[in-house]
Amino acid sequence: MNLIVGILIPLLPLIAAALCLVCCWKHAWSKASWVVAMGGVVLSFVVSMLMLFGGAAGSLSVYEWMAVGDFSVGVRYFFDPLTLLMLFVVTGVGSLIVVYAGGYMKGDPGYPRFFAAVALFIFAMTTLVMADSLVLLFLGWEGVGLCSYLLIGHYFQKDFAVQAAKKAFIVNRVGDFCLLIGLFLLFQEYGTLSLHGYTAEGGAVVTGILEQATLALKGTNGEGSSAAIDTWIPMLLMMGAFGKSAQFPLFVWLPDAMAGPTPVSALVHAATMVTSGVYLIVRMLPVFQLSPCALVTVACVGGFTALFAATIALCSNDLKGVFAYSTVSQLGYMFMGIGAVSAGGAIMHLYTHAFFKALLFLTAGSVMHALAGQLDIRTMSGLRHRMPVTAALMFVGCLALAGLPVLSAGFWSKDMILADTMAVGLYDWRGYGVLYQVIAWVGIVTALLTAFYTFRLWFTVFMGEERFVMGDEHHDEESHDTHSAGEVEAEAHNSEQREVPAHHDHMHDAPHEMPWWPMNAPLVLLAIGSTVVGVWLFGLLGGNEKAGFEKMTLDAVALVEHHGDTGHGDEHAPLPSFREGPGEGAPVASDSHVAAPHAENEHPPLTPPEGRGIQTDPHAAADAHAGHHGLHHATFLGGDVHVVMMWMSGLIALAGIAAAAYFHWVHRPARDAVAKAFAPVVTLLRNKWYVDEIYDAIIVQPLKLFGQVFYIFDALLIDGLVKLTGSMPRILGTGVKPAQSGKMQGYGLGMALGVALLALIVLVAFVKGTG
Amino acid sequence: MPDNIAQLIIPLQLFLPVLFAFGLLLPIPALKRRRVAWGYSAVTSSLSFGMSLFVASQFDWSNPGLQLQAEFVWMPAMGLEFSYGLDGISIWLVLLTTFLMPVVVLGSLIEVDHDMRTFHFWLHILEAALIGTFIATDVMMFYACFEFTLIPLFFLIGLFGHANKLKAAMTFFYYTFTGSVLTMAGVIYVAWRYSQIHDGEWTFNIVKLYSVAEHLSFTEQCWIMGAMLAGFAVKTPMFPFHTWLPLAHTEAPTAGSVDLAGLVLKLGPYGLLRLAIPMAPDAAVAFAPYLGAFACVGIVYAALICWVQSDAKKLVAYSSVSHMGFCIIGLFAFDSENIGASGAMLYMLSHGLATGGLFLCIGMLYDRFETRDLRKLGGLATEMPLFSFFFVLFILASVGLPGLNGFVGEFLTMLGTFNSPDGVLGPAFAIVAATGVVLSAIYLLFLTGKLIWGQEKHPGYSRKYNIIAEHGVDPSHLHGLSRREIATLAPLAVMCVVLGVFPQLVLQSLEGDDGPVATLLGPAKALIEYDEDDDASQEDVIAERPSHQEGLGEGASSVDYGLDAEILELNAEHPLRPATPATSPDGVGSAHSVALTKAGGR
Repeated sequence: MNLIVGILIPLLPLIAAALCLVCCWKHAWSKASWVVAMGGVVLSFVVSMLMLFGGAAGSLSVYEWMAVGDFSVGVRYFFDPLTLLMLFVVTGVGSLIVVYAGGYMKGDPGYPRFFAAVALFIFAMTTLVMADSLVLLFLGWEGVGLCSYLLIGHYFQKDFAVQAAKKAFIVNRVGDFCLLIGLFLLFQEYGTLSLHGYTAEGGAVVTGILEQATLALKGTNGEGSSAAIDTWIPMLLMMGAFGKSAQFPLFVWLPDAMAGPTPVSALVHAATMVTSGVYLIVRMLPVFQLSPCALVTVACVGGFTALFAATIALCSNDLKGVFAYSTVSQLGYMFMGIGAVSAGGAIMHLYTHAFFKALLFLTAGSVMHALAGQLDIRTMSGLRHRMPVTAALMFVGCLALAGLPVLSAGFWSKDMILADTMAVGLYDWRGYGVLYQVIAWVGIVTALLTAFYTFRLWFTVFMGEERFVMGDEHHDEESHDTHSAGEVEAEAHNSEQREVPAHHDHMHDAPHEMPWWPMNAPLVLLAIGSTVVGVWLFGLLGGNEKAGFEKMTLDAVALVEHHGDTGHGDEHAPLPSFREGPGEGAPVASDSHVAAPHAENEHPPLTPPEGRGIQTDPHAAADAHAGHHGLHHATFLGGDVHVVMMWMSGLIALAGIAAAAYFHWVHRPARDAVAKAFAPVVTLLRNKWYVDEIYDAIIVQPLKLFGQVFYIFDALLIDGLVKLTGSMPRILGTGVKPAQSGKMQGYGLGMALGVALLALIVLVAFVKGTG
Repeated sequence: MPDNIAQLIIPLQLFLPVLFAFGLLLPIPALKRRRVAWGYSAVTSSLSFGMSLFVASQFDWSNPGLQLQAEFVWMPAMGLEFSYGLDGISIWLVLLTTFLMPVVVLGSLIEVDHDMRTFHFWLHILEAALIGTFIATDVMMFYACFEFTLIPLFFLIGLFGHANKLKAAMTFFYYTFTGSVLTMAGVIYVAWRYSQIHDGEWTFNIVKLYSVAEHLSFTEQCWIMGAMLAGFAVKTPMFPFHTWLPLAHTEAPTAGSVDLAGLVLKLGPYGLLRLAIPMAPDAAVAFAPYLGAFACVGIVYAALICWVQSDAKKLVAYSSVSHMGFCIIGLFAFDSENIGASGAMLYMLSHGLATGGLFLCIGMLYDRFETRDLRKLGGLATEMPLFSFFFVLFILASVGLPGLNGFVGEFLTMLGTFNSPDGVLGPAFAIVAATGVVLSAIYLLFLTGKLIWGQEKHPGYSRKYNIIAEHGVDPSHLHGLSRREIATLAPLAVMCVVLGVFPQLVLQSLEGDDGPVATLLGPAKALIEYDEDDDASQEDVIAERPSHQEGLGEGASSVDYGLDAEILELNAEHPLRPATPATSPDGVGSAHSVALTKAGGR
């Protein structure tokens, strides 16, 4: 397959974005923007799939972006199974959400603006996952940040939305700051910012960062380098990833980001953009492994964030807020997975999460749409009769999030992460065994909380007796007002505006089901992807050939065990390496050691129905149940760790669902009693551990005070300067007329003293005024 | 094209604006009408731009060294001559100058309500002075044009500014004038030393004066550098010499602000690169950490001040102070590949476009509402969506969003600074500068949040604006902008995108081993040891360079500042490098461990 086609993947959405912008020009054109955006994104998806199933691999150089001396950044894309899988998620889920948004955003005055930003987002996100140069990746990285800013602030008349958008961009920039420093260090250390090797125009061969890092890792026998820079680099990249993927301490922007339209929450703030941090670390895995402690730090932060966010979700009464914090929590799982060198588990969870979280957000959007913007779940109850399809769809999504054993997609991916983490812990990898085990337990506890808060929401909203309060400020309603106020001359189109679909007209009467097209139909596809079918599809996408995604993640993971030693680090483990060079496609043989043929009689009772070539390849079968790092012999609670963990997480999920059913459906008074008993805790959690307040007090306010003090200081400098320049002629004059000199000097001195005094007063007044 | 005609296109480029300026003064009654004067100016400035495109077409881009040169001897006894030429750096600055002028003219129809002729006269004169500075290869001509920019700006601010215009004009004039007088002294000293060395033969040719550097003692170089900085650092402006800028900007008319931020400020870094660094390379290297420190402080300091502004224009003015800090650190990074300095030159162009765009946008608001107070304006996206689009684009270019022009320069300056050799700049400087990335997002999004988003809020259209709009002269109906205003902003926006996507257009005329940046930085970089093993050519240069010490009677001694064990080790690894006995004459640089071999001391 000719790789040049790949250029269409980002280009089509970019063109669509430009056309959507043009659609802003005339009101009559605005309806076309949906079709344009949909066309761009869906075609991009089609091209991605053509490339995926055409087995595209290798790098595609478009043009030289910037070059100074030996620093050169090309617009160069790289296709490998990881990229193609990410492209599937981004463009595939993106297409479904764009279709849905066509219905959801109907009647919004910012309709074309919205689709322009969404199409631009797909451009930036595809660039991010396709980029071969980290600077190009940074372009995508910042680009998705910009689109997130524009989309969160879509309802820009609302002050909250504007603040949330600003916060998202700035918190992300803090992460980007670290990422930027990380890039500088990478350049210093590796002499290039290209991920994979390539041949430059002059014929010089550049070795990519990943190849160099893999080599260096081999040189240390997989133990990691002791050089400080090798730890600094992943630490800084990690902070960048934490900013984008909303991990502690940079998670604060994501819950606020829900101020954007719900399709945006689904696309940008659940399915795709927030996972780019996960992608970055998986992509840079050799660099992370080179540091002895970077991965365990990732795992710790991931585990902590997972638990921390889950506790907040437990008490949140905001329909979207629960899902927002659950996104933070699930991203924590993904980082936990990467930290436990289970890149495959992390990516699989990224994939399943994209489906079920997009589904959850969009169904939540449907509920919100039906209830005219109502978000408080305390006002909702028993909506299943009014919105049966939505209820059913959200149920599927909730099952996936809670991790219903076997049938849901979330179960398989979450289990993969938990089991791998525990296995790595039992193996005592790099001496962090206890830490990994603790993280795994934290993950199990979080799984319980997750199942509970997920079904707390679903039972509350859809079960029990019917009760609802319509919201008072639905964005559609509001937009009608602002539209008529804003564009007076567009009277011709007002009639068009009035003929909004029927479901808008009885908006204030009662909630109603969404239409199948364009809203419920894409949700059904998402729901299918959230079930075990999604896992099967994952196998199909990732493992359709031996050099597929499964293979690749195994290659990327330079773990320890090879011939079945359960003992400690086999120092001579041959390290697997990346496929070398673009386009070669021939995997390096060494990785066949990673997963040894030990699987025969150890098939777990719950065999993942993934198409990973289980039937054909015993090695792959071993991988399949051994997790993505090739560790599969640890014994845990008297059984194989992966099997035990599978049972455990399954039972935990069921327990959580059962508890939620009791408190929030069967016996609701019990809920209130418990809430009363733990009132202080509930208050603390409702206020989200006061993290926002703490940040404001220790970072924002001091900086602002500095700004004010500096400004006063600067004003003094200016004033002094003006006085000085103003008195210059006089001072010169005194030279000519000495008679007046004494008087003038006294005058000048008095003036200077006066200015100083005045400045002091102003300073005191200003500080008092602001403090 | 024959050579002699090719030589004339540059003076034509210089005198065209002057000619056009005086054309405005012709006793033609029609020119007294504001629309006519404005239209005339729009056409003539566009012609100048066309001329500069022609010049660019004659420029040999494949070899962007100094070219299209010529000199006309004026007073041979005193070495005075009129000589000019262009290289890969100055051609871009000339293009930027002529590009911004028509834009500025288009943008200042409403604001200037009296003496349209005078206004455009001075605007053309300013253009000529700026072009003169950029094309000069003769230090006298450079200096004359450099100083002359003050006069049109003085009148533009003093006659057409806002409430405090006289105070601002005076401050601006005195401050920058005082600084550049010292620069003059420094230049003359260099020329005098040249005449001493060459038996009384005087010259002011910049390239010839470079050769003086190797005969100057370190102390002399420090004085020269100081003198140059007095003019150029004030102009840049570098913290803490920036205080004239916010005042001048807030009081200046929009055209003045755009020219000031977009072009006049560029004279500072340009002068540093063209004159100061090659003429006093030792001092440049020794001063680098201090200048870098001031620049970094300025980046953070000005950014924080921006955050608490309530005047939109003042905010953008302070943002210039913050942004120009990146230029300074890039220039003084002296990294082995010239990434920093190339980035700094690109950043100058980017800053001119993005900040110019922001000033124009704010000028348009002032035209309408006669206020720039962020407390009185808000939510303009509702009423002026197209304006908001342009504004947000310029904001993003200013924030340094990849894909727009600001990013490339910012990234390269920081990368260069990060890779700066030990003792010059280094990672610490880059990290402090990089906080500017976060801070610029804070204050620029604060500005956007106040002006563009939120509930619509403004004090109503001013009488002046209504009169103009009612007469159908400048109707505002295209999503909040008139056609004239779209024509003003669109070229800037397009250039922001083009330079963001194809920065190579500029970069390839700057970089390269014999590119203009490398040529100008050569003497300074030759003093620095780069610990890159693979860069053999660099080491050859270092190994060969002590030769220029001869001719100075006092004996050639190599000096190493702040020599420490690390550096000794480092030197031991590189047998090619000359031995470096340690004595430090002035103690300058001992505080920082400069791994540089200072030769030519006495």
